[in-house]
Parts: sequence; C-alpha cells; structure tokens
Amino acid sequence: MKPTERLSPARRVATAAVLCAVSLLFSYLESFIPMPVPGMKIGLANLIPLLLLPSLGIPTAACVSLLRIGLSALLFGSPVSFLYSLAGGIVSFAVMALVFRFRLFGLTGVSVLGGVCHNLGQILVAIFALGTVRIAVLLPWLILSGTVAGLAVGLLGGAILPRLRRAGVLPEEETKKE
Amino acid sequence: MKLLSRREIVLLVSLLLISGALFLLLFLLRGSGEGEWDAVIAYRNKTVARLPLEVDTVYLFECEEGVNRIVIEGGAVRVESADCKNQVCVEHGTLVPAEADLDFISCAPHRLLITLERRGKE
Repeated sequence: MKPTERLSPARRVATAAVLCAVSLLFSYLESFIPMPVPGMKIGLANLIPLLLLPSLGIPTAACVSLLRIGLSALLFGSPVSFLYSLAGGIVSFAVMALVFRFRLFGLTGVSVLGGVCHNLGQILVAIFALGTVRIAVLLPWLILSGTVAGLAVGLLGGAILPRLRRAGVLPEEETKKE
Repeated sequence: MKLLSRREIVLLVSLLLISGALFLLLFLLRGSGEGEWDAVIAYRNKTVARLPLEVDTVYLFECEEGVNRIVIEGGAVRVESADCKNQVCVEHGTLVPAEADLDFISCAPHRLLITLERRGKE
C-alpha cells in the first residue's frame, strides 16, 4: 500500500496493538537497567506513543500509553509502582499531546517535554505518598535525566518514523476528518 | 525533516540551565551540620521515634508493610537492611547532618521516612 493511503480500522487496531506490545517489552527490559537516582529511566517505552502521535493520532496514542502502563503494572509492578507510572504517564502524555497538537515543537521537542513532565508528575505523587516536599531535591536530577533521555528517544523516533512510513506500517498524519 | 529545530535547541539549553541552577541552589543550601541532631523516624506521616545521632544504636522499625533495620553509627543514620522489594532505602547509604535540610531516607513501600532534625527545635 502507498504510505499516504488511510489504514482500514482493523489494520489500525492491529498496528496499535503490535506497537503496544513493543512498548510493553521496552518497559520490561528497562526495569533491568539500574539507575543511580530512584525514578530515573530512559523511557524507551515512550518511543511508541511518540511514533503514534503523528501517524494514528492522539486518541490511539493515548490508549496505547494507558494500556501499556496498566499492563506493565499488572505484569511486572505493584499498586505503588502503578500509581507512580500512571501519574507520570498522564502528565507526560497530556503535555506531549498539547505540544504536538499545537505544533509548538517537532518530535524531539515533544519527547523532551514528555520526559521532563513524566518526572515532574512522579515527584508530585512522591510528595503526597511520602508526605514531604523534601523529595523535591531529586528535581534537578530528574529534569536533567528527563531532558537527556527525552532527547535520545526523540532522535530515535525521528529516525524510525520515516522508515516505518516507507515500509507502510504507519500512515502519514491524519489531520483532516472527512 | 530536520531533527532539531532552533526552538528545540533553545528548549534543551533552557532545561539544562534550569537543572543546573537547581543543582547550584541545592549546593548553596547545604548546612554546616554543626549542633546536635536527632534522627526522626516517621511512619505514615507520623513520628514514631526520635533517636539522638551521637548514640550508636540499632532500631528495628516494624509495621504491617514490613521491617527496616535502622542503624545509627558515628553521627550518621542508615538503613542496614529492609524486606521491601526495591531496596532504595538501603542503597541510599548514610544520612549526615550537613545534608539534613535536603536529604532524607525513604522507604516508599513501607511508607517510612527518616529525616534529621536539630535538637531543641520543637
């Protein structure tokens, strides 16, 4: 099929499901990478919503993100870790969707802001969970790591997206509703 | 498609500057650590114990979520062992008075928080 062609509904669902599985795999693999500061991570799983935003659209990307967080907590996490990743995920996705929707930045900028906001969301939950604002000392670490990790994931996404489009896996952006 | 636009570079630089400024702020806020200090152990936001740092002790913290073995030694406090999953509190290492205003040991699974407070404050 030509990359500009619209995908059939069944194919959209199938594509989204496969990519959701990929992001779940990324989440799992990442849990084995040790990090010096609690909450710090690469956020490779965020690559998938980043690829979905400019191809299958915001609602699909949101569903895949939420599904990934829920499944990953169910399979590898705990109720506490679910709360943390949900907060991070919601804040991060909301910001990414807004930045994308209003064309404030390109894919890399979307990813960087997503990474930083993910960490801000987690710190907010930690402040309530532990009942102390002291956890904010992690803020500089998490802004720094969110920026660097977001940059890496964003550049990766920018390199992968055109290839997936050429291969006919993902369509061009669907901006207009008919 | 360009990978990095001018705006994105500005975004990256400003985020790095913000984190750098926060690092600097935290560094400047470091106290001298002089005076007498207590290790304050709180569970679910309530203080359960207050231990003087100059006395070496072992405090066994127990709650329904689990157990943490808290050790005070040489004017510093640390969690020696815990039965939680992530071991963040153990890996945190020691908590010393110079960093009292900024640092703390937390065990999120047990909802335990260890901080240092200057004695006679309250």
